[in-house]
Formats: sequence, structure tokens, C-alpha cells
Amino acid sequence: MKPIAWDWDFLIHRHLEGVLAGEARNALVERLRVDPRLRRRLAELAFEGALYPSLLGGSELRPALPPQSLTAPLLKPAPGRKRRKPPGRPKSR
Amino acid sequence: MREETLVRNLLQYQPVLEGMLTAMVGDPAAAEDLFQEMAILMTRKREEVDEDCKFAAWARRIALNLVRDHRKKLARRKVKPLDDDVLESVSRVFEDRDLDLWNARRDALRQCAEKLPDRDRAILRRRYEEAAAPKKIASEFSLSRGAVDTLLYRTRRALHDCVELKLQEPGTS
Repeated sequence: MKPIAWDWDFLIHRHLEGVLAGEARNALVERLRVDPRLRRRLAELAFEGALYPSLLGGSELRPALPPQSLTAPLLKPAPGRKRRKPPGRPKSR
Repeated sequence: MREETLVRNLLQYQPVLEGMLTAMVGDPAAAEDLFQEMAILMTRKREEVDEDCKFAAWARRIALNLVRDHRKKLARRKVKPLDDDVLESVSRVFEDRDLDLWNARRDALRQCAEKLPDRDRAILRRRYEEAAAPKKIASEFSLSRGAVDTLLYRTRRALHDCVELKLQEPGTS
């Protein structure tokens, strides 16, 4: 049986999204154990990801249709930056 | 360590520390919460370290202990940090690299992010600044869930490749 040829960048991306699990997660952990280049790549991608919220501002583009329906009440809160929940409370995605 | 020194270091190192925590636990929201706990802990313990201590090394030790101590709590949030030995080796990358090199990467990323198409930038903002779920983003932008997942991955990769090219240009670190 041929070993799986993992896309390590994709596995790192899934890890940083918080959705890597199972065999793929085990494969990434094992590879990180032995591959210093991959550890550096994970560190760099994680660092860059941590900067996204501060570097992505400025676009006025919004989705073509507003999230709320046309029959929604007029007084809805404007979309804005979502506050993260305080420590200890699980975050639902 | 004086309070102003701690504050200056925390501000300078914030993306490095957030990146380190995200790499360790694989969940940006959990990493953000851990960073807040880390800052509080460092404030309480600042008098135990010298003014000229290696800040990155101290921060790494605190981060490692925090992640290990919080494994059960993180598990309740379905967050699974890397194994202990891998935590050590991954976090060491952040400690070993000079702050100047991280800052050069940040500056390169800023330039690369400016080149993103408006739609891609808007989707990344919804995901990483406003923490919208991919499913919600898909419906807002009339895309499939798979298309959003693919876009997020490809954009992350494209930004990283752009940063690597910029860092190789003459005159950059």
C-alpha cells in the first residue's frame, strides 16, 4: 500500500483553522517531530495568520445581498467587529 | 522587570506570541484567550525576572506551561494542542528568531495583503477579523462552503509565497 502523500501546507492550514483531526493530525504531528523545516513553516504561517485581523482592513466590499432578509425589522445592529468571548466560554463556529 | 518594559515588550512581541500560541493549539480564538491569560500572568510575575531578561525565552516558558495546564479546559472546547515534545520544538522557532526578522515578515505581509483582490480581502476579513464561520461566509458571498475553504487556503498560501519572495529582495532582512 502506497504511503499517503500529504499536502503539508494544507494540513498546517487546517491546523491553524482549528479543524485538523484524525489521521491527518497524527501525520502532521509526526512530521513536525522530525522536520525542522516544517516547524519553521508552521511558525511562519501561524505568525502571518495572527496578523491578518490587523492587516486586512480597508476594503469596502460587502456581500451582494445583506445577511438579513428584506422583511427584517429596521432596527438591526450594524455588522461590525465581533467581540471574542471571554476566557472559559466555548466558541461556536 | 519594570511595568513599562513589560508593556513595551508585550506590544512589540504580540503577533509573535499570538502566532506561537496559535501554532501550539491550532485555534485562533483559544490562542487569543491564552494570550490574554499570558499577559495577566506576566504582569503578576514581572518582579521575578530581571529588566534585561530574554523576553522571548520567558514568554515561551509561560506559554508552554499555560498550554499544558489548560489541556483539559481546551479539550472541553474541542481544541487539541500539539503533543508536548512538539510544543517544545515548535515554540522554540519563535524564541530563536530575532524580533527584527519577524518585523520584516510583518512588513512584507502588509505589502502583499494590499495586492489582494477586494473580494478575497473581504472574505478574509469576515473570517479572521470578524470570526464568521465559513458556512455563513459562503451564503453571504454566494459561494459553496468548499469554495470558501479553498479560497482561504489558497490565499494563505499565496500571501506566504509573496512574503517569501519579498524577503529575498535586496535590502530586506
